[in-house]
Amino acid sequence: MNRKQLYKARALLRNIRSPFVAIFGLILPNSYFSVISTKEIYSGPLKQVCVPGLNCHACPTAMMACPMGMIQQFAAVHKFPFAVAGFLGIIGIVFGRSVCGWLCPFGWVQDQIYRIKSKKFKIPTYLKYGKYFSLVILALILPYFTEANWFSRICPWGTLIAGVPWVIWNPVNPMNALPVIEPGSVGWLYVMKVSILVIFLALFVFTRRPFCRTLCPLGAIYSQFNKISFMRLEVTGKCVGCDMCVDLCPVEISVADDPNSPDCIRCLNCTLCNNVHVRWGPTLESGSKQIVAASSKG
Amino acid sequence: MHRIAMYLHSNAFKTGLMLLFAASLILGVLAGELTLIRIGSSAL
Repeated sequence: MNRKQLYKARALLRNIRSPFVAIFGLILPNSYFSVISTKEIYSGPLKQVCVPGLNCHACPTAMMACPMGMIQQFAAVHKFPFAVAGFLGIIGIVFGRSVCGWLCPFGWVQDQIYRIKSKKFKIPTYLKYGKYFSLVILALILPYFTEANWFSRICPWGTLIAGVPWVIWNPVNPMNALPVIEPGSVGWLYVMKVSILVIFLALFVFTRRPFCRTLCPLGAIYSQFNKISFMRLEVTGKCVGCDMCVDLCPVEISVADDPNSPDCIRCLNCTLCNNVHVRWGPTLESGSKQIVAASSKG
Repeated sequence: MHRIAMYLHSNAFKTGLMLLFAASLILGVLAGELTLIRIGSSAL
């Protein structure tokens, strides 16, 4: 398969992924359309369930909870989130970081904006540690000591689907005849949130998935499972090192060197190359790149 | 190191980890964490 055919196949894969993300990542968890009449966010029994990807529960139409919001909430009340940890762990051990590639609507938004024609830049590799900082400091330590959800306060996806829509819409609450967002309540924190969102939206044009790679704490959790998940990628011994997989990869990983890198979002673009395969279970072919990478790093 | 890598990729290790997470999920549900999630998501 030549480069042109591969790019065509990648577009086809993107066309399969897009409706999948839209239905399961965006529409199903955000289908509380009664908000138009109630003017209040849903707080029924489905809010007890977390979605696997980022999904702001303050979004006007949100039906389900956000795992990162819950982890922060549990840290703030000094409890270990057994249910959320178990839920994320099961998904991670089976699929690795596939949620980032196949379910997260914010990842999908980044992919779409990156398609705008412009000069493109690579993100310095040391910035990938930012997501671990975000997880440990913003989502665990600060909420634990300050009882405030610091990551949620700056989360650009939350700002895009919750903060901005509420402020623009600002309906009158039928219960008390007052606007939902009281006058004067939009302050410096909101300005900071929107500024972070604008900066990221601009970055999406020039770099591939900057949020997923540098700031997403949920990605930091799932990334720990890539090396040990049942689902994994393998490169056959026939790989000639043409770096086609790097071109196809939305997070610029050298798949041939480390097919199960923690940064891999399992979008499966690289499997369009005949030498990269998805495999399930423990089987390791002797001489495959996966076993070489695992043992040299181990 | 190679042995550790092999063990991390073994079915036994992955299955054990999955059972551990399943136990965590069940424990959380039985402890009433789902209610806390709902209250938390309303409070946020």
